[in-house]
Amino acid sequence: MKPILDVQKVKKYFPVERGAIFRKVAGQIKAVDNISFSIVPGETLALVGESGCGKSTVGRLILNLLPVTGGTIFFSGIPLEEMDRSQRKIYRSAVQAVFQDPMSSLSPRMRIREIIAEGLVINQSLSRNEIDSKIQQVLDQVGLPQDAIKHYPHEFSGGQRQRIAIARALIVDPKLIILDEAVSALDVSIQAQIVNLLRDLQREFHLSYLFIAHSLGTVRYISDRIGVMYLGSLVEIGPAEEIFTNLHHPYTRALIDAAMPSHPDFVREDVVLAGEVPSALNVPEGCRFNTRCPFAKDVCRQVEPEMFEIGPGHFTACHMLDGAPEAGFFLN
Amino acid sequence: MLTSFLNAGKWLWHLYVKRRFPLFAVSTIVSFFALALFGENLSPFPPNQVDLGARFSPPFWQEGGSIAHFLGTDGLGRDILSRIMIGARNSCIVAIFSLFLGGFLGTVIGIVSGYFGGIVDGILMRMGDATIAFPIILLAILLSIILGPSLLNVVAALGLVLWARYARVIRGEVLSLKERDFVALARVAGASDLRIMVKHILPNIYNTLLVLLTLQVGWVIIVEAALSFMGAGLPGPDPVWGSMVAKGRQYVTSAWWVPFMPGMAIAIVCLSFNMLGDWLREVLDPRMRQVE
Amino acid sequence: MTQPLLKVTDLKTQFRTKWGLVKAVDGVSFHVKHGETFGIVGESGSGKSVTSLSIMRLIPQPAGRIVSGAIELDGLNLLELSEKEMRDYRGGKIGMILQDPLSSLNPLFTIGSQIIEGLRIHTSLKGRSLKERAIDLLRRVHIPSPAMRMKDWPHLLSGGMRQRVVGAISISCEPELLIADEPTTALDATIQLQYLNLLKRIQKETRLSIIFVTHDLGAVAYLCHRAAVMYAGRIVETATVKDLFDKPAHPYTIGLLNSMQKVEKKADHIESIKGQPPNLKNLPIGCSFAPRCDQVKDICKEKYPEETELGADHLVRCWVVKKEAVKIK
Repeated sequence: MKPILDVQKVKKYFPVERGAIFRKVAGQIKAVDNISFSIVPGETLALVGESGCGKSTVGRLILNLLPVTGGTIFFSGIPLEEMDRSQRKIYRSAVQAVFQDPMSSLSPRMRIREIIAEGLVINQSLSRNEIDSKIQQVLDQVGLPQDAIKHYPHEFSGGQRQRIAIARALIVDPKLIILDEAVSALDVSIQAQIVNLLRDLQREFHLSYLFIAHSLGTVRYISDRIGVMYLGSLVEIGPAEEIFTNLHHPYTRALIDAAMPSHPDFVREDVVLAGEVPSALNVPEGCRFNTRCPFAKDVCRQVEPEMFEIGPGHFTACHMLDGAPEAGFFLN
Repeated sequence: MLTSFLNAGKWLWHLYVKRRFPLFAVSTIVSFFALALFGENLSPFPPNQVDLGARFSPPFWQEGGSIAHFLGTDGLGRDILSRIMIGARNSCIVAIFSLFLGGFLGTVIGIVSGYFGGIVDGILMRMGDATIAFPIILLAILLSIILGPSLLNVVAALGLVLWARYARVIRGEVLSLKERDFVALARVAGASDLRIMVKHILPNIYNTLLVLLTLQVGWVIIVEAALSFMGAGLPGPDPVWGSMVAKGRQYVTSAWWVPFMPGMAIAIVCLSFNMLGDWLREVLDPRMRQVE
Repeated sequence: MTQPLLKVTDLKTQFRTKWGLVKAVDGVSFHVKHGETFGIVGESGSGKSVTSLSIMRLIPQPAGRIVSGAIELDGLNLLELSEKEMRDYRGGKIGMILQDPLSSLNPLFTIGSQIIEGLRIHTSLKGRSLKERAIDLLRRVHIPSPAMRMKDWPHLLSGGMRQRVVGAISISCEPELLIADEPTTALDATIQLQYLNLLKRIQKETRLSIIFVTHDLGAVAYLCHRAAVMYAGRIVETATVKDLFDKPAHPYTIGLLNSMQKVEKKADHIESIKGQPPNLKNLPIGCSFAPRCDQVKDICKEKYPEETELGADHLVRCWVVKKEAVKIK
């Protein structure tokens, strides 16, 4: 299948400036460093990683909220920067977003009707009646009462606000929705509601999701493929179950082992990845994980590993490809 | 009808008791506006009526004072109460127009500066700093000397000085607002910069603006009084609070009420607006609203 | 049986707000044994944090007030102490770790001086031995090169390191009880695991009791011995962690466990709890979970359930309680 979104060798560096009057660029924060992946219609790709790994930046680059430093993002085969006016207009409806904080993502002074209709009002010329019937439709789809349109965001609970945010994205018939930690801020019982809603909507409208998250439980439930990011670059990407059961990168292992167990019987003692993520201002030479990796050899400290295909659609960037690390291999 | 009346009563009671509604300040402000509108009809004497027989009549409670001249008379026997009542109009006009001008300029510049940032922000904010750093009274006097004293010029002078105060606060607010996710989502939806500024950012600074405006009313009335005091204010025979103080100051030892009464009027009105502003700031504080 | 270290009986904490009285904690009773980790699980607004703040008597005044109840530490009711006596307990016999490590440390003092500050108040150590003790504490919370770190400012440390420093301060006076209110929520997964292991190790070494407040059932499974599930200001179920996961009795606990998104196995479908979280200003008469419960009966809407004992250490407040084990999908 032809990918709907194709991210090719994308980089995003933020310059760090020093000096009060004469600004000098003192360094580069490599938030995203040479990332490639693609998403086909109807699929969910999850990007996981710890804070500062650049996963949210990738989402903002795709949404065109930030310019890329290098590389290209293709949508339906067309590079983003080469789009003309009409293609841009299509792109703006086709790619939507739902963010983490439902408090901050809805204008506090707008009524729900206005919030949901914004994308329509800007991009399409519809009559009031047509807009109203579309709003009615999406409110039904996300499970909100019809009289919600008259109210303001602060009158709703967190889960309902996230439904509003989803309705707002849904109304313009998107192809791809960037879900940036879209359920992380919600209570456990509400999280399940929203994740199920997202799954139902995906089936109904054949949507693609880029699901940016740090909670592996949710990711395992919702995604078809998973990309694991560390310090601005992908260390492993592949089919979701492969990543959980047949993973190769030591960092993927560490991340999965660090997830909280769902039952006291699953508790493994003393499975610890030592150390902390280095600063993105000072990415380690060679493999960026070498400072924390218990297997690091000399080659890891000198040569940056490239992505190798180790199974169908399963890529990883590690010099130590001989065997997959077993669960709990970080035993102290 | 009765129930709605009762509800309104309940609401007022709630405002007064639970939220410490500044009743004194608001009644002062209401009478200030009433005087500005109907001063001529309410004043006991025409403000410029000279009565040399009743020169320096003291306020009614002092020996020699009369109830007719409630707050006494000045050196030409003009009734001070009437002159204060009529003078309210000029103060009010100056306050409203200069605040409107300054508030408008400040809001526009503050939003543009905060939203676009970079060099635009740098230039606009340095201009603002320069305006604030410059002694404001001197600036207003200069302007009114260059342009000649008139109502319009006083308003222009005050407005041009005021904008920077608004712009600075509003820019700060915009800086944090534009990082909020709803602005990012609006941009994703393809909203233009103008739409984002008007529909998404502006409504969220109304509260700040309202508080700022109220807090500045007192300031404007004082500065206008100071301008009049120094002869750079409103021209003409009609009374102005500031110039009443100015012209009365030579009698401060012999007939203290001549400068004191208009000075008191200025103080009370300023205090009231500041009290209202403080109250609004508390009531409109988003942290207190978001709980619900 | 020996006496528990902490015994909380019928604790009620209320807040006066503009919209009326909010019963944030409404009749909570539980106990914590010596050397045990007791979890308090709940969603936002369940009253779990207010409960832990009440034990420290740190409810924001004057809006909040502990209305009734008793909090007994080693048989002594903390609610009857004077403010001055209570100050000796805080940071002395009771240590505390809060969610946000940045705001728990004063940015204007080095971390060394902040640790020494607590030691000076609560112990009789002086001079060099103070400093040595502080370095030793940093070593115990696994901060690399602790002697050098003493002179660092809080902003120079990462979130995980800062939370370790807070941990070092909270155990500095050898407390008998440590209250940890969502200590790892702001931390990344691998750092969270490091921190939880640290708590485990400290507990093993010192036999202190921990109250672990969290919204994450997984962390409860990982760390706690017993746990209480809170909903709308009340404890709906208390049990050993094993019982809580194997034999949950309250429909809310069952719902929470069912809606957990498990990392160990891909689920085909996850059941969620219907409805919205409770509004504390407007709670229903009877059981507060009734509007969201799928087994609701008439009595649930009329009377708040009494406590039922299902076994040793297993208490539940529900009218339709399940006596037999419920299979969690």
